[in-house]
Amino acid sequence: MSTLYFVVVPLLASFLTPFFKDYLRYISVALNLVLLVFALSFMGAEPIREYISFDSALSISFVLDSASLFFIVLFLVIMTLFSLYHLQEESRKDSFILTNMLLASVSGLVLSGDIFNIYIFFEIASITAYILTSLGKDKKAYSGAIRYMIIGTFASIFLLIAIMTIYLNIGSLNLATIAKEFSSINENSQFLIILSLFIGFGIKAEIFPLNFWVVDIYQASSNKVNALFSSILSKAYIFVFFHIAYMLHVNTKYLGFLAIIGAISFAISELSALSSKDLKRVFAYSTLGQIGVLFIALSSHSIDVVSGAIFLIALHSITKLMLFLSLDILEQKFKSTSVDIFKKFNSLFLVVIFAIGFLSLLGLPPFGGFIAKLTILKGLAGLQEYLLIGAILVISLIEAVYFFRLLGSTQSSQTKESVEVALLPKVLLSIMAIAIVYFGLFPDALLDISKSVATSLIGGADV
Amino acid sequence: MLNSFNQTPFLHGVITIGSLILLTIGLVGALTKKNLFKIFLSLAIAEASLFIYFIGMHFEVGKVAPIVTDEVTKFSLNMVDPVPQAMILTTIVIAIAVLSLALSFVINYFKLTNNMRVNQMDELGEGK
Repeated sequence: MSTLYFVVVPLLASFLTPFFKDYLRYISVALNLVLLVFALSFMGAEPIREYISFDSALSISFVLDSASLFFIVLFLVIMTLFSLYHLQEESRKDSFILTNMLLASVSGLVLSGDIFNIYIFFEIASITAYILTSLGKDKKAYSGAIRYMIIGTFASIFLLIAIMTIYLNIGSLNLATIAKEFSSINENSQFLIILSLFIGFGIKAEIFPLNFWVVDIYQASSNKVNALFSSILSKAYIFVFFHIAYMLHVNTKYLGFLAIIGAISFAISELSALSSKDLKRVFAYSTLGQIGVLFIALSSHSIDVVSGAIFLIALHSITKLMLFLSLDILEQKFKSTSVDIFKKFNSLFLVVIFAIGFLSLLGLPPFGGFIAKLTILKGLAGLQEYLLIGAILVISLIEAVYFFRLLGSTQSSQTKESVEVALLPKVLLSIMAIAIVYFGLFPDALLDISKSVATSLIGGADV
Repeated sequence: MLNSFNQTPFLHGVITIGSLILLTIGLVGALTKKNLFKIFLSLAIAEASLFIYFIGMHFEVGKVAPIVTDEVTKFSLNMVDPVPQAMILTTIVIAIAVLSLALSFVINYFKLTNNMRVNQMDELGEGK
């Protein structure tokens, strides 16, 4: 069995779109489920390194270890839930093609074992994201897509500079070879490579100071697209960035810099969210904040903290999918995403869903986010990084202010309109909410997986 | 004397300086120009400078292109490195695809708003 199927099958399905006609939504669910089962069949297997083409030095290589498998499974779970949510709507060719392209490109990103392939999948994912942003086909959508393209082209230019510098110095594009040779090249080239990689991936992974554009893009896109951006795309870029950083054994002073950047990103995003009046922007700022926490945790280079980060990635993906899909239901009713709609809607179900999502993002027990943040904080305490712990705790208080303000506004005495949630979204949102509570109460299984993922991610160079 | 101009280090120097100038023109243009077309053209220039640099730095005097022809029947050491060429070919295709997509967005945006200046794109933001 080949790991190539994760990339090829979604692309092939996109090409076959005209034949599927009105069955696209069912095909989409079936495709994601089959791939999910296929991915789960690799569980517990030895790491696989697969070469496509003739000569190992020049060929395309795919690496499936427990880290990349975890991300593939996570993406497929999210995509399956997402395609199930789409069952209630008309089949749309464009969204079928684009979600499949997105799945293929993020799978390719996490599987690729050579840096030029990473660039190719980086570009495919970017192009897909540009078109997804423009799907609304109105002024806002095009304005967002154009901004996204300008900043995205900057990112690919810097990634290309990094790849060229690597090839000129090392003469190989294979990540394993680069990892071996990286320490032997001169300091200035190392600095240039790391800086270009940081700018290239930093723009896409939405980290301060390269994330000023993100909130506008979220505002321009539909909620469903935002769900994919927040729970799949940014996670894939973060994984690839830190995967490369760990493989290159970059100097710890650079990693310390990333932790500080993460803390600043967390603080600024949460402060901006306080004054925001649009729910899409609030959720976008919250995503940026969580990415800041992930940067703090992932740059620690310690298995305990990184396993907390992996746990947080899984939880945050599910939570943001749930929140954006719930927001989608509200937007269809009120045709607006202003914070005021929280005062207007009358639906106990949605209030409970939002409450679970917000409290889990805040890291309060008994929800999954609590275990994630606790693991990260315990790990940081073990490393005696008390400043970072203080930063995370203080900034979480700011986060609490706007989340509780939003929850409080659902109880306002304003006249309310009842919002009916159809059966299918209700079931799906309930599944996600139950998953969040379940991982909060019984975190051991996921923690064990996170730990093995963290081990394989940090020791990735030896595979 | 003219022969010294036809040496690999000299040519590499010319290519490095030339592509650095192009990269600067591209990046500065993208950051300072206000017209959307000009911004995307500047970015295309910046990308082109990288292509020239990468291909140029693997060019050596006396070596032939890595293509099998009637005279050159097998791959040998007398060829330049084929990897950058394959890589840049792929990258050029991607760059063209991205550029055409960008221009189609600009055209659609212009049809809707009659505006092409990046500083007047005020559809997005707080309270919009």
